[in-house]
Amino acid sequence: MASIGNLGSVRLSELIFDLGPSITYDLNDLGHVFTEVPNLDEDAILQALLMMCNTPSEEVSEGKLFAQAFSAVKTSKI
Amino acid sequence: MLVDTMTPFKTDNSRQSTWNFDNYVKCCNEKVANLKWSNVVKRLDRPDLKFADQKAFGSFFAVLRKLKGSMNFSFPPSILFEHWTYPTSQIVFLKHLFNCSQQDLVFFHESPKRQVSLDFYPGLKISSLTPPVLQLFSSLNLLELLLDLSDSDYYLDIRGLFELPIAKCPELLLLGLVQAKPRGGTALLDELYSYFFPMYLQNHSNSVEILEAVWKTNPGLMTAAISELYRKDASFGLARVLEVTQVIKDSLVPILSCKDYNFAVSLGVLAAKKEQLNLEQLLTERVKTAGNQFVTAVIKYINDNVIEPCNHSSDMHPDGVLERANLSLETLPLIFQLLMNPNVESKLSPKNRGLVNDKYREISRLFPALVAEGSKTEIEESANTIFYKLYKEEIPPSELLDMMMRYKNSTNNKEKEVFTHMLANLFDGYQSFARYPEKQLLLTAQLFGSVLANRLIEGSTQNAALKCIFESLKKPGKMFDFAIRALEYCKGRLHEWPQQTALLFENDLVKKRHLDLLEDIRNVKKISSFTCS
Repeated sequence: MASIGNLGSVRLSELIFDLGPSITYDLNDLGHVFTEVPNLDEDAILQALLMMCNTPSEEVSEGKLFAQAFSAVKTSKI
Repeated sequence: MLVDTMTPFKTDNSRQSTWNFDNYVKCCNEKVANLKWSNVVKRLDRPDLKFADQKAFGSFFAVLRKLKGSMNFSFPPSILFEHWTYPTSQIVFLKHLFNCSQQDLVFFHESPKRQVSLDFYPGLKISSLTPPVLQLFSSLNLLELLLDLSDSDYYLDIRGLFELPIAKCPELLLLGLVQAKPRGGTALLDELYSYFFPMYLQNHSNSVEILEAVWKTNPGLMTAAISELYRKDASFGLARVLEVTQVIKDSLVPILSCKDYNFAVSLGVLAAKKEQLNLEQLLTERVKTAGNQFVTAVIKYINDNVIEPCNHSSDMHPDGVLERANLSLETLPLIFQLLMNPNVESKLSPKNRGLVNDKYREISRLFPALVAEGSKTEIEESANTIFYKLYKEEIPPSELLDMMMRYKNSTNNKEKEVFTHMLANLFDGYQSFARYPEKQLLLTAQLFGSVLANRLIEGSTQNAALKCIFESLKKPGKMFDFAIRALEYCKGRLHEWPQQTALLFENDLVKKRHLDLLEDIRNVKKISSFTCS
């Protein structure tokens, strides 16, 4: 399976945070994010959930670093 | 392919500006094999738990509520009721929990827990408490957890959580506290009890009902709480405590039996003044069971409330002092009579014995009339007790005789008076000797003879004693035996009374049955004559 660059040390919560709320509206995209996170366990799931609860939507800046990373990977693959 | 999978990825934040938790949960369930959400919840016990605000806390639990009924979810009650590994995070969680407006949301109602029993306070309905967060205080587990956690740097945080129930449902909180069995939390409990008990011991509208419920639930705790209040502030309303004990059936004696002896003495003295108990009975019982420590408290009470005020307040009349001390001219001597009773006195520590005597002397100086009356009764009591012990064979005649010899030569006036009273007891009883059981009569005879032999009496008393003995010789039966036994014990001195002794040698029954006695008397006389010559 293709990889999104070097995301080995990235946490699920950080990834979702940087991708913003819209990532949670598409199960395929979200599922892909899950597959890209190593060591996905109950702790990671809780952290991401807490992040979402703690982060009002207006504080989330969409398309930041990781969105760009996704796009870059996508472009390079094309 | 990543490209394909990422194609639908949207970055248009104008359309989706809130998190889609349903999709997140769904994705978690799909992507994580064997995921158990209860384990996810347990991970709240982490070093850095943070909820941005109450809304965030509510959002978190709203997600969990949606999971209710799922195969892989059951809410872990340990999160609500047990100690976490990371107390800082637990405090964060608890603060939000107690700010949550809906208890259903946090699984409180469906979590198994020990509830505060309202058997003794049935008027309280937990389900109707408002705001609903107050219902959390119906859980003993949660109360115990909060109390335990208060033994830490988080004392003020935990204390803050109690503000609402203190204001809105104090009865539920107090009943919970007295039923809870925390491992710690003493400081917080003390603070809360110091607030509740004075409040309910005042004329609070629910005071009788709640105090009765507390008493029935945990009488020891209520006693300890009241005595602790008294220890901190001696002016604390003992009169009100007494009123409460009259309303709560059978509570006065157990409260008086507490180990705070200073409190017990103060309350007991007041109760006696109000004729709600017999002071003598109370003191006798407590001195018997608690011993020296209780005696120390009694003496302290008299010192602090009678002697010191009399010595340091020139404008206060001693009678006024007694009144304020809840004592009287009748009760004060009763106390000393009990403390100076040989039965009690013999068991006192040397320090207490000295204290009792010192305070008795001071009281004698301050209340001379009272002591004259008191000592008379007391001395009679002492003398009677000694004879009682002789006849019960708790002490041998020789010991009683030693006591009499010591008392006769004592510099202590009280002991001298006891000695005099013992002699009076001995001789005044002569008319009743014929009715004594044989064993007791012979003990009396031995004492009679020994008193003469040891020169404890002289003059007219001595003559009266001799007269008793020689008159008894003329009587048949056990009075004759009494006389012989008495003579056996004073035969060494009989030659000093030749006229009476001559009668002895003329008595047919003596000559027939007690030749050995006559022989002994002759021998003593010979030795005496020889010594004198």
